[in-house]
Amino acid sequence: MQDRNIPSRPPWPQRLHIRFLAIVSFAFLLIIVPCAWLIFSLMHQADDAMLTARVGNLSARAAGAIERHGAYVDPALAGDLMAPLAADRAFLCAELRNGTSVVAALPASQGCVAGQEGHYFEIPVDDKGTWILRAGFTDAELVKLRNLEMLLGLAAISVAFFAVLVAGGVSYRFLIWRPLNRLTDGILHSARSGSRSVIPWNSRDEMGLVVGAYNNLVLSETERERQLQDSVERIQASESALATLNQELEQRVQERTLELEIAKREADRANDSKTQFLWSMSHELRTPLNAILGFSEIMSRELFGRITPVRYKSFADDIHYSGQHLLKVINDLLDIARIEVGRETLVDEPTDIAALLAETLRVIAPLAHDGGVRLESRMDRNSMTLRIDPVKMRQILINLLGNAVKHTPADGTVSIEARIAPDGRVAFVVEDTGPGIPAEFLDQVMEPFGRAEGVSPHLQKGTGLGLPLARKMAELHGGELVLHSEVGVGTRVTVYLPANRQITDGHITDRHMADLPVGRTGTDA
Amino acid sequence: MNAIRTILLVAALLGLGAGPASAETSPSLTEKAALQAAMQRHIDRTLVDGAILHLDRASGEVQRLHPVTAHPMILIYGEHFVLCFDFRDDAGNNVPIDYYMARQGGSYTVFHTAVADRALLQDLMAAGKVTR
Repeated sequence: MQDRNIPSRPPWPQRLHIRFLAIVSFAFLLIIVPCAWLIFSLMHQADDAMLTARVGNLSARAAGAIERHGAYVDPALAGDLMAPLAADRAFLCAELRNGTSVVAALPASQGCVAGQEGHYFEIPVDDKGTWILRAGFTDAELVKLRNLEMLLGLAAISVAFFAVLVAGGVSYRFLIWRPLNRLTDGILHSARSGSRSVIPWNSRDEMGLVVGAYNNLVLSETERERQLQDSVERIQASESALATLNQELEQRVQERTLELEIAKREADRANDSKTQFLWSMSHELRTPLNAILGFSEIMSRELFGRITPVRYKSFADDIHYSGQHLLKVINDLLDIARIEVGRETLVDEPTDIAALLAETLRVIAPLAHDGGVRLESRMDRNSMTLRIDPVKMRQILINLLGNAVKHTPADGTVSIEARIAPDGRVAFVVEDTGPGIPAEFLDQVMEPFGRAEGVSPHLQKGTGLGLPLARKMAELHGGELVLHSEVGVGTRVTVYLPANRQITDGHITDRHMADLPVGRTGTDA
Repeated sequence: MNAIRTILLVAALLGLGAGPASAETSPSLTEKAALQAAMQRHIDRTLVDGAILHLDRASGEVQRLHPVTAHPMILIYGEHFVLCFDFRDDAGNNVPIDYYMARQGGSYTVFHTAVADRALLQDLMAAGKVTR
């Protein structure tokens, strides 16, 4: 935590209690001074009124008494009637005058002294105004009393002002400053140390609410931090467990990889041994098989005379047919084995596809004719020349067409089409209207001897080598073989060759067209 | 801020109220004493056997009002003054009489007497014509 982010206490003039006391003092003086002035002013007026009423009434009563007793001519009586005025300390003097002559006076030996400070007034004694009572009085005592009251008032105000300051300061200290100071100390401590603590303050006033709100905030923040810490610890524990698990997993993967590499090497070695065995066995089988085929053909054709009984000729035909079938199986196995061991290579040469299709259809036509299957061929252009191995390509097409014809019932259709796919590759598409292959067997039929067992007798014809061999030869050309089939509709096998195997395209020659046993738009085989 | 503003307003009003609004026209001590004496002399001259006689218009009877004491307060009525004196009737009830006085030369004279008619004085004070 950086101290520069923690605000320091404000200077004295800006502190809250100084401002509070300043406001209290100002408000107190603002109220008390006018009030005191008002009170003093009213008291002053009342005192003046009392004094003047007393002096006026006493003087008037003295004048009335002089009039009633006709004391104008008896100065002694007039003096006696004025004498009660002396009982009032406010009176300075009194004179009974007739014009300018003084008949009676108070004090009797002096009367009113000229120039003496005081208030003087005259009262007519008779109806004509001939006789006048002149009286003088002073408010000196009132002034003294007023000054004393002013002094006491100021003292009282000062005491009250001091009491207000003390009461305000004490109240502020206990009601505001203490909880505020604790709250500030708590916040500063939290800011410096980073740890939060609850402030002990339990009053029910507004400051108690503020401190309580802060305490609730501290508690909620502390609880949130605890939950966060728990979450972090759980995450760290999970990460640790995950790391351990990853190490174990990596170790297992390494072990499994090692086991798989060993198994793969063993499998490769076994596969190589199998291929080598097939290669050797096939090669070894072909030599005696050629003798069997040759002699069985001689016997079947009765080159050295008729065979009796006739049933032996039938046996010779069976031997020759079986031998040919066996030879085909051996050749297919031999081709697969050669491809797998990498001994099979392509002998590419420019090949006229129209001629290739015509030749292939000529080979398949007898089989289609025997099965009552109609053959169709199509090309999307007049001519197409590819750089391919024509022998292997012919074998691919013969295998595909042979499979299609074998699995297509009578009155069905088998078609072959050569075209350029939208992606530029060359596509050979063989389609039939056979029973189709269930989806779960599509991968299986692509493997050697992988026939769809138990599905349909139609799908179990052949050795199960034609399609895998065609695929391997297509892959040998850098292409691929795609099998699509729908039960009850038919099967479509597409062989894609790379686009760079195209050489030219143009018009197909008349010779090639003449060689086609079926029309380009499709004719019966 | 509202509290401070209220305090200032109250203080200003108090200050204005406490001010000697009638200080310029307020009579001096000498005048006040003369006024009190003139009122007293007027009452003395109107006494009949120690009491003033008052015709009560409501009852049609003449009341005897005995003077008791003068009010010290002198009210200002423009150039004139209003003073008050407490009387007591025969039944012992207090009856205030307001004397409206005017200057006459160097003395003062009563030009109107309001017997138990405080409503008149209150109306004049309410109209701002009579002030303290």
